[in-house]
Amino acid sequence: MKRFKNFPVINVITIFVIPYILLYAIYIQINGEVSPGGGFQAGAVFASGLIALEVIYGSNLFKHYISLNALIVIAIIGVIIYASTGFIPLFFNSNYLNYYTLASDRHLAQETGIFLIETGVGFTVSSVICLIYSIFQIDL
Amino acid sequence: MNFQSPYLLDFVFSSGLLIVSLFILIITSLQLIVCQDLLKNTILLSIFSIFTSLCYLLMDSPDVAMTESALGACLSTMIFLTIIRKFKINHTIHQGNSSYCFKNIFALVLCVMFIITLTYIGLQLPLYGEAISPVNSHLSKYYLENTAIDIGIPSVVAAILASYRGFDTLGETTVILIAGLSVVLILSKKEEEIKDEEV
Repeated sequence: MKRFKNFPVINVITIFVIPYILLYAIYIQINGEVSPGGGFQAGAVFASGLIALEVIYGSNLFKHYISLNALIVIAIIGVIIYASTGFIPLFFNSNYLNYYTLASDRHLAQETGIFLIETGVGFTVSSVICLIYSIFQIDL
Repeated sequence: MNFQSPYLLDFVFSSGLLIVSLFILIITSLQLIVCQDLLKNTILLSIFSIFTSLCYLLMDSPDVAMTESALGACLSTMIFLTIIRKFKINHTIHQGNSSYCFKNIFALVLCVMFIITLTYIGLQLPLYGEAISPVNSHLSKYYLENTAIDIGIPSVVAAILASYRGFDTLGETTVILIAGLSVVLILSKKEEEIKDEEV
């Protein structure tokens, strides 16, 4: 069901722009160490793109394709990724979340650690925002 | 890595734009207090959020500006509009009786006293962005000097958030997860209630 079927301008423009919004969110996530951005911003923009798709097209994205349980599992996996990269240094006889043990070169080790935890944060933030939006779509 | 910022983004222009944005914020918040329509209030909140993110950008923090515009202007507005449409809320707020006026006057006096106190204290703070203020002298100076040596990434904000204070960010992420799960728990129904409704 197209909710905005009487507004062809909105339909045409958003079907052109929304893939670039999702791509831009992945760009912000990956370039979190160099440019402003990181996990929180990327998760917010990605979820905004998905919610725009849902609002304008009524595509039942959160009813039929991505169930509530899947969103909860993705959010928990994000926190598990973050906590696990903290556990790895414990096996190398060092502190929790000490990134220097992840690789031999110091700067490469720090960048690896930061990249891994930012992906965890991105998963959690985007799935929690989609969760809070989709809980209102279920008939209360 | 040198790059010349264009002349338009000189500090004088951005401080003028900052004052205009703050003026618009004050007008929007006054309109928010006075307005009676729920739909109008939602749109005004979205406008408030956009100008707040512009102020954050003009004060040299693009990370916060990105998050504020994505969450305040886009997401909160969408959730409010969904609630207003779904529950068919009557748009207008009803006027109360005369005790409403007394509460208004008391709140006005309290707010004016608050404004006077905070302005008096705020005039004695150091200038914005001054290098010798206590905020910028101890910990910020350490992070700015040692990020290139310890961590080696260009973005100091990401270094502080993810490496120097990584444990705090773990707590923050867990709090976001708990908030999402709490919303699901509050708004979910048990299976007996669903079966009762079907019968």
